[in-house]
Amino acid sequence: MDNEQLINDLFEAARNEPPVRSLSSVRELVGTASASTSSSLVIKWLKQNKMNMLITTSGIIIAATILLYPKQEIREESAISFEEQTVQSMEAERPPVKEPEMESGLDPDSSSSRIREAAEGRKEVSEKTEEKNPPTSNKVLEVVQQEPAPQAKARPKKQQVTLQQEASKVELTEHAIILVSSGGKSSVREFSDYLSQNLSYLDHEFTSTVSKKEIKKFTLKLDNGREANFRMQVSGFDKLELHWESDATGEVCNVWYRLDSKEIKELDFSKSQKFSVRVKHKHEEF
Amino acid sequence: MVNKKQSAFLELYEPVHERFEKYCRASAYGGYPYEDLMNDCLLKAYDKLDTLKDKEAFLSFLIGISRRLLANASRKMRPEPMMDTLNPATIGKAERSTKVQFLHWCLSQLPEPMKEALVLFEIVGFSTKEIATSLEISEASVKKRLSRGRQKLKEVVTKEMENEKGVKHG
Repeated sequence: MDNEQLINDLFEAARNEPPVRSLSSVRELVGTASASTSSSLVIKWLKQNKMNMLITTSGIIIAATILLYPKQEIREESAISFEEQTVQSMEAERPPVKEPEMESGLDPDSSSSRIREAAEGRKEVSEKTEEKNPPTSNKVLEVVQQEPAPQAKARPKKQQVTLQQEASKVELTEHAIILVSSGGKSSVREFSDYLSQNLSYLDHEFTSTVSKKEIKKFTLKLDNGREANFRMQVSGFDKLELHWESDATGEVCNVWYRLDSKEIKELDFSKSQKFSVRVKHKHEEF
Repeated sequence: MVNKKQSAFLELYEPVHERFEKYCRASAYGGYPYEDLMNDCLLKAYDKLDTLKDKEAFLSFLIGISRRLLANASRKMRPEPMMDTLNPATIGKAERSTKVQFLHWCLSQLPEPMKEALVLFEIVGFSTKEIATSLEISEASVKKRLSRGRQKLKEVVTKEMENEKGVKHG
């Protein structure tokens, strides 16, 4: 057999070889892509249920109500501001606030008045910060650290961290919805149930329960040199439950997730991909 | 269950799945993981489906997106040749998979324009006219690339075969 004939044979083999990748995996992928088209439903539900969200530059929704578990007392320097403009736009469509005691899920001994004072203090600081830091675009979000307000001393043991970004202007282009638990699985489950009822093609993605065996622990070294510990529960494609633990200082750190295929592939702390977070007590209204 | 857009997309995609997969495997060999290339391309295509004017050209549409993705991907890693059982006299159906890998490797040694033309013509099954449209070059250029590409491929294969023989006799 000469090499000319060999080349013909090689091409013949390549043409006749059955596909390695099944069509069903592509169907699954496209099904996930469809999730992005349901953004308005998702956003509506998030707002109705007072969950917060972040739309990443690649169009991923992070529905986030995250509990922060400080290992030590949270330092005052840990307050992180939030662009007021975005806050206001979210406020405009926000339903009335429930009684704090009804929804906080925090220790009943916590003093709500002290918490409100702390909230007001942070709001003041946030307004000041806005002057120094004009609102970023939807594409590039920015973490802004600031000096704490004096009232912010009385923080509860469990702080809630929220991630927000104005979602309505962002065209969702990618395929992943990342759900972040609000301490316990109930909110994720509730959200999943809602999607299952309203978006029937997402059924299979939200019906399975995460087992403890699937919990993956990892530590991230952040770009500021600190470390943050995460426990992540992933079940199938497109479902993520994330518990955020702060570093030793209790400081909130920025984190970026991309869900691709069946694994979390990218954790990107590059300067061009930052977003705003704000330490916020659940009683506090943006 | 699927929604309308999903149905429309899959209806277009299913007939070209095998050819598209072969294209991705051959084109991405040694660089972009082909499954990632497929995923990224399909999601982009799904997103841009509304911009597709000619449904008959869906495969070209996918390939165009893949080419752009590949162009953006780094190709620092060069693969090692898969030379096991690749003596021309011994290659049989049982080794088809290895033959295909060998072909992909040999193709990866060619200049990109030649490789691209050969993959589209020989593996995907495009006509020279379709390739010309897809690559936005003249049909004469396509034919030239195919001719030179095939010649170059022959040189690569010959060299590898000689290396293989040298290894066996040595």
